[in-house]
Amino acid sequence: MSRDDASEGIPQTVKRESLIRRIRKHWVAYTYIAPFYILFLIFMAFPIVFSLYLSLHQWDGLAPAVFIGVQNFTRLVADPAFGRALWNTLYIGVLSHIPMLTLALIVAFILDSRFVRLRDLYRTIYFIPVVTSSVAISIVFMNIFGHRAGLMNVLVVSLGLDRINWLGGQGEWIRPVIMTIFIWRWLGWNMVIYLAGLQSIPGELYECARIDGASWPTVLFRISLPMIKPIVLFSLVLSVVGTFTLFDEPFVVAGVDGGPNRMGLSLMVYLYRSAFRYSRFGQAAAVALVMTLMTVLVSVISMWLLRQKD
Amino acid sequence: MKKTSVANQIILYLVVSFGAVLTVFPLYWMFALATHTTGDIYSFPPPIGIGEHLIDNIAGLLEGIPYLRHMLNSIVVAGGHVALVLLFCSMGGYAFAMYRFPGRNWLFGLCLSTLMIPWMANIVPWFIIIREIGWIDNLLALVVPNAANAFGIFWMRQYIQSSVPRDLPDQARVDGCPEFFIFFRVVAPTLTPAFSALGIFMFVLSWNNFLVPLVVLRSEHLYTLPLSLVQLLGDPVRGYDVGILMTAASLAVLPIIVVFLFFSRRFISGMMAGAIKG
Repeated sequence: MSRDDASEGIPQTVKRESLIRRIRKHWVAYTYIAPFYILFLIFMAFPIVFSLYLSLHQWDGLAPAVFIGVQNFTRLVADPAFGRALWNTLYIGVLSHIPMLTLALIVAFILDSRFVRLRDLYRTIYFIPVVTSSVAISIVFMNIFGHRAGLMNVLVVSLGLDRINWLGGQGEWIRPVIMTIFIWRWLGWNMVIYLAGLQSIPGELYECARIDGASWPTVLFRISLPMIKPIVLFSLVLSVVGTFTLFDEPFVVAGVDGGPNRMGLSLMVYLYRSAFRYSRFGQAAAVALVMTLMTVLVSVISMWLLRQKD
Repeated sequence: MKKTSVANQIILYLVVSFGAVLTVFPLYWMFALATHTTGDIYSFPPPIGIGEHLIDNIAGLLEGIPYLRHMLNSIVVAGGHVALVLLFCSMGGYAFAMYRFPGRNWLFGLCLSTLMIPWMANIVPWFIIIREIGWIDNLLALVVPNAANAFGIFWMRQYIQSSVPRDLPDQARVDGCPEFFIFFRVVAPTLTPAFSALGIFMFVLSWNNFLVPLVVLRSEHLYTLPLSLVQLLGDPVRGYDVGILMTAASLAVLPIIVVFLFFSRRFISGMMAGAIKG
């Protein structure tokens, strides 16, 4: 029998078999997982290793690559556009999560209340943006934030103010526009995760609180929030790390050069621009390394912090 | 905890309903603009209601670019991708859930660790591989590479562990079914709910994917819908016609929303089960 879930009971005989025989005996299992590892080797493992190699070379994708040591990295540091892209990415990644998290928590708390009817309907509506195309939605928001006849400027004018050139001018409004699109698309996803967390809190806890006559802020801060904290922090880390590779929205809204003063340039757009606009494959690989390091650092540090607290 | 008073209930309902309206409104407005001419759209204030020019805009769109072809490409790519994902990920998930074999924990750990890697960042070496294989300007580059992904395998493993009885494969073994086919003949037919949830999720991701087709595809007749939209947005020859652009955006977004609404319950709870356990 290949499935030796009984092996815990009779480890003696299993261990005596040679490794090769055991591997051959389980050829079916290996065949089943083979597609993942084959595709992983070709399309992930090799690119990562190749990326490390490329980051130390100058290469236009055609002529032989030239070893230049860490010059790709020193050039990045010297390039103001890279600094801009890095700053924009962190700015958008950190600042957009403050309103998104707050709003998602508020909606989740309300929908978790016992009196709410049509909970599934609300949940479905809030989730719709997640399945929409980021390119299509960015185009829609470009119209909402249009200078001449955008809805936002209708609002601005009706408040007695001058029209705002959201995507033009000095570019100071581009990041808020990108953040708005990001928040709109992902608020529902986070809200639904929090709601699922809230609904999995055992009812007895609330029952006890009710008997003790606890007020709702007490319930909120002493029961609900602490119970869903791990889920909230975990999804927050994933979401922040996800913004490091933000591409579609800045690319569509601000273009490949990042718009006025490059205020809409993200790291991923910078990488794309280096590789596919200027054929600087080595430089792009260096950017990729920076992004990977950022991701791994943030993930590892935050996981470590989360574990410490528990 | 006291019962929420009626006044408070109304306020809270208003808050969540206002949020729901803000969520739906951009989508509504996208569709509303698709029914107006660009001239109307650029008047101030812009139209909010539904106009009468949807048919004109559709005609203008189909005349301008091979939009139906682009939609067909999107359907073929997403459909083919989903078929491969479901096959590979259910096989992998089944193997990790039901077999004990040397190196299993190590291999599964490796699989999960790939979730941490921002694969988009390595688009350049990835692109070189695709070029070496000869898949530049080939839809296969959008279908195959990510077909056996860690998320799908992890998710399928969770599902199989929690809902496939351990003695189901044993039963088949007793009946003399060859080991290799047990999964396909006996187990896979019981996985339909998992297939539909994961399938929709992967379909949506593939349908909305922008970076990979942007990097790989060259010929206009191979474009998928996101490329089609960007092409319309930046069209230097025919200019930027908002009515037609919004029509194209609506046609790219609304079918997905309709499918989602049909399966939303199973889809959301399925994804959340994976997200929370993960």
